[in-house]
Amino acid sequence: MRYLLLAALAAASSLCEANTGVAFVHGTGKQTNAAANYWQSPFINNVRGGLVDPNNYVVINCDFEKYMWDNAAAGCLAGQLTTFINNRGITRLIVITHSNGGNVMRWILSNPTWDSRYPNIIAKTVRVNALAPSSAGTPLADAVIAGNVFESALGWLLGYKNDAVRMQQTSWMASYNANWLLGTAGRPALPKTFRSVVGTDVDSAIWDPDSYCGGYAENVGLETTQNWLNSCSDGFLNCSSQSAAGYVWFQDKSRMAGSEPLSHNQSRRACFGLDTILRNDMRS
Amino acid sequence: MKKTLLFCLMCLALSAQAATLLPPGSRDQAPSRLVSAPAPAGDFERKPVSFAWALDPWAELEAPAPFVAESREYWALAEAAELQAGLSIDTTAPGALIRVSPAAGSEAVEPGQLRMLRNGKAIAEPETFARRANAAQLKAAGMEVPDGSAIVQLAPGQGKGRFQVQLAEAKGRYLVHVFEPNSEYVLKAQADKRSVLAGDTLEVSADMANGASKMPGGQVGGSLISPSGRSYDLAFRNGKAQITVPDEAGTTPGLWEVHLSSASFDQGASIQRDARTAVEVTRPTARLGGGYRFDAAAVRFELPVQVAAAGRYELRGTLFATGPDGVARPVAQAHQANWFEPGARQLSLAFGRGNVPSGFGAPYELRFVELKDQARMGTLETRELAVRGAGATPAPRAVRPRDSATPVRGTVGRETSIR
Repeated sequence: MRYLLLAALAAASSLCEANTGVAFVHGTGKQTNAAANYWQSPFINNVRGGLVDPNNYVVINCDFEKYMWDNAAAGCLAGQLTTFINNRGITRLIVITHSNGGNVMRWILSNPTWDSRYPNIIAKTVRVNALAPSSAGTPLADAVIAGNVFESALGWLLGYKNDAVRMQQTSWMASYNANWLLGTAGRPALPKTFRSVVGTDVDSAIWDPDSYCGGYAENVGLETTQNWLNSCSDGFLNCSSQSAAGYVWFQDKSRMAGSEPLSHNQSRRACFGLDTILRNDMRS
Repeated sequence: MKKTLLFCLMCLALSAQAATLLPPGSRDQAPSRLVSAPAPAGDFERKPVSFAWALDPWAELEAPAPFVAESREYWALAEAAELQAGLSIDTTAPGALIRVSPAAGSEAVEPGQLRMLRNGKAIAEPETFARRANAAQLKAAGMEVPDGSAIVQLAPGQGKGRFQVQLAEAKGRYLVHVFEPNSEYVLKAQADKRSVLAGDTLEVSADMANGASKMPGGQVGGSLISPSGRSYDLAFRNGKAQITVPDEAGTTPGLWEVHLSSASFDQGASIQRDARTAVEVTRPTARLGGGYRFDAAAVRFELPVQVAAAGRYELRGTLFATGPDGVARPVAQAHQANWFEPGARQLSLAFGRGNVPSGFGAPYELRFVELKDQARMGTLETRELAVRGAGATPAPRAVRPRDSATPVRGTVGRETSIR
């Protein structure tokens, strides 16, 4: 009993001495001001407010229109995380990713020898909270990439679709999950915890104010795109894709205020208490 | 004295065993030849990097099966004149979605411009579509369609069968995509490998099914397409096609794709399907030397590598250790990469004793070994089971004076040279 108490005290002591920081990693897109254009300040400020030092945060701005391993994607992410770790003396890094940002972070965790900066990032990372990660791709990427037989005929092959959309086709992600990425079923586990928040449904009723949280009520497009998705989806990703890597931390309705679902756009915004759950997670 | 000497020899032998890797299994990939290639352009890491971590011994590991693509859709290219007159499309279930996307330089499409005809007669407008969306609305919902695209969904009341989609304002070329989420007719496509070496054989299977019933007959055609866009025909016979994967020295990143098209009839209805799946194709620029050396004290495997092309190569593998119940379970993962010029090189998997959980130990197995070409993004060689019995202690037996000249049995004395 005495030893257990001592061990608990030691663990608490090391947590107190640790310098915890949080990184916000955006999804597909080339960001230059993700704080304003991707996450928005109410979300970032509430989450970082849970840190002992709320200034220990970084909002990543990289080109995630590239393939995940590209220097402009994972290379850029590694550079910004390394600078953050060094400049702020971070010893415990919590990474919050959204959508394809989860794939880029999982690339770093799965391929520690790719870049000499990766091992230190992995060593400092305590966990990745992956919001709606596109771990197994999305049928919507399949639908818009017609395949290069047609694309070449139509002049779309080069430069028309970004590589990140191409990469998130379901058969492509299956290949990368089987050959390069870890953490999916049957594959070795990632070196650090990767846990997902899964959006299971979309409220797109125009009379329901919840549909507008985060500034989104794209019901016209969503009603059409839902035809490519399963009944359990966040409007962009099937639940199976969001749950494919690591383990499921929670599904939206089990933790959101009013058991509200999180659409794909709402899972990066201060909607239904998501930001508060992430804020509380900064202390553990 | 002799006993002590023998013990020391055994310890030395145990701490660094050298032997031969187990031969590749039926699901493994192993280059039978090597090709040279110029160093790829780009900014690649040049430093050696190693990393290892502990795994949960109770997590089951298995080699992933190749992906099975399922299609309830097909695509067609249409000229403006065809769309102006009404392009025929076949549907097999109510509620089909039709996307029309303009080629570069062609006129954009608004969903309100699309009309549907049946037997050449226009369907009354209010009953035609259940949903319509333009490119902006679809992009806002996360569907990155090409600019100027439009999607309409046929109203369920219109049923199934042959329709004509008409775009009176068509100008240029268009891609017409028909997706039938409610159809029972599914084309399944699967490559027999998740990764293949250039020059090796790839088998592709195509299965058309109506619900759970496989459909005989029908025509299937297809191509294997490289990232650069070059197409290689697949000739199907009884639903299968084999191709020797071309050794294309392209530099375009990305995966190769298998594209299949099928046409069949069921109860007089025409069924069209296009399916595609991805496969990783790698030029054999390096391979494992075939031997290994095991340092039991450090729990480290050293594997020679034959390199034919300058690049950054990675070795990764999973350590299985024997648990208290005598069963080998996955306990650690190790990776190492380095930049190599052509020649005889070596990579190590340093699992570290600290990553072996209490109660687990020798004999060890080395599983799920992969040699990667990081600079060209390819998998060169795989072994689901590379080493068995590493670090095994020989059965203790009485040592008599005349035994000292007898070679030690078991894995201890196997000083097989590294190939």
